[in-house]
Amino acid sequence: MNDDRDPLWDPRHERDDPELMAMRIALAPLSVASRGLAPWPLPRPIRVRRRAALVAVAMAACVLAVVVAHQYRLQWQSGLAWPVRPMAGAAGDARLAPGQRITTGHNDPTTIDVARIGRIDLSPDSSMRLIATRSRHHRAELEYGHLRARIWAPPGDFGLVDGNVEIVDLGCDFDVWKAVDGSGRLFVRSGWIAWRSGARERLVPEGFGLRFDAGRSSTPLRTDAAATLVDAVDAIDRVLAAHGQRHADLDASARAVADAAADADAITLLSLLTEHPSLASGPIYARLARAWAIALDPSHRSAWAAGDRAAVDAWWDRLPQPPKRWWLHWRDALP
Amino acid sequence: MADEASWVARARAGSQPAFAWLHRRFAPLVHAVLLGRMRPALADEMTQECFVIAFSRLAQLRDDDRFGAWISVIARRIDVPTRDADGDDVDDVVDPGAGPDQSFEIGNLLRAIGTLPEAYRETLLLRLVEGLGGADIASLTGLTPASVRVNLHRGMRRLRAALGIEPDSVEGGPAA
Repeated sequence: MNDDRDPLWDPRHERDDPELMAMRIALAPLSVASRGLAPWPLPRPIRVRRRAALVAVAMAACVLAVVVAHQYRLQWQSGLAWPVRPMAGAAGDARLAPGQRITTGHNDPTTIDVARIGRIDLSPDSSMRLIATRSRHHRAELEYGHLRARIWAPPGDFGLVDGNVEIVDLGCDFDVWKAVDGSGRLFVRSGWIAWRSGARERLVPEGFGLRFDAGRSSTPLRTDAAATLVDAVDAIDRVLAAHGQRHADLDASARAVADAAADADAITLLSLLTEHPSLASGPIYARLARAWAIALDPSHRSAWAAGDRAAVDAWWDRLPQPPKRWWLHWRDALP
Repeated sequence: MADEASWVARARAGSQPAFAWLHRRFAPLVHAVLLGRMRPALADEMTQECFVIAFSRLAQLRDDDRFGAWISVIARRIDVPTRDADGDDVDDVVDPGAGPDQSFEIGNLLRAIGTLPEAYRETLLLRLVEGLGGADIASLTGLTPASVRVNLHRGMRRLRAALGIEPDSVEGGPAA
């Protein structure tokens, strides 16, 4: 049959075939159009909405789980001993209760869980004593040797005590070395710590360290700071310790520090200015302003030199990762 | 067809109009495949299910020009419980005002079509139920027009024979 007139091929000519026409009419009620199967009933948006709802519920559940888990991490029964992971070759589960000390041998490093908020790796030939432990307050003392503390908790929850001195964790990963005579040093791997002695406080950020001895500490320095800066900071620390902020040698010492400092040493400069506000009238203030590309403001400078805390805080607030943001250092909580 | 491929690509990206276009265009094909395998009410239901499956697996389609052939395979693979395969629920899908004769006629036709080979069955259902012409059927199924013509004519001849309208004089098998 000619294509143009084939009723089976071309519906326009169905009338030419009565039997075909009868079948078409009979079966037409079953067609997609007759059955109302079109248009597409939009299951996809429904699925998307359902998926969005599921995602929202899942996220809410995750947030709740995180909050609950976080609260659980911070809770600790008062006086409950810290678990001590067995040393190589040792058996049983040891625990360290308040008042007790743990001492490692020549080849026996060990790890102590700091409640649920972190851990301490105690190196060989070291001794540590647990002083107090309860929710939101955990204190230990490194008697001698070396430890590495990895803590993920709000500032102040964990600290190392040494007489009147506290090395307070602000949510970080840090090392402390201490000799039997009480001198030592610390280094911050991530986050911040605060070294406190009475009313004095030095904040030490990641990549910086300081030395301490008999209730005094050095100004924080980068571990890779220039030797000239190390010497200059050591000199100005000695002058300030011996004579305070009014000594003839102070100007020359401050000039040496400013000249030796790189932009990356800004925390060193900021620490000196914070500890000794009168230095703001000298070259260290100008060097820090240059490091941070801050236009010199005589009124701010004079306020700082006069000991105005607001003037000091204004520049601390310029730090890209201030000490308060402890939660950013979540990696410290990883094993 | 480039147009079909572009709609498939857009659907894969989540376009709602693309989903609607693909459904509107290929629902008759899927429905015909299913109607040849199961009772009408179930075919209605499974048509939608078939699109849900296809859209959720769109990433698996390798040739965007072959969406019709691909979704036909999905429709042919849908499991049909034996008790659901019979075309005895015609009363459920025809107009309530229709008489028993119409229901009987539809059931009779479906049963006769159901005895045909798959290729004849699907092509004839597209022609008789959906009212599509040969060119449209070829475009939807991806078959050549010549194959569609063969399937239509040989299928119709066998259908007439099955219905007792004229003797089955068909030789040869369906075209693919």
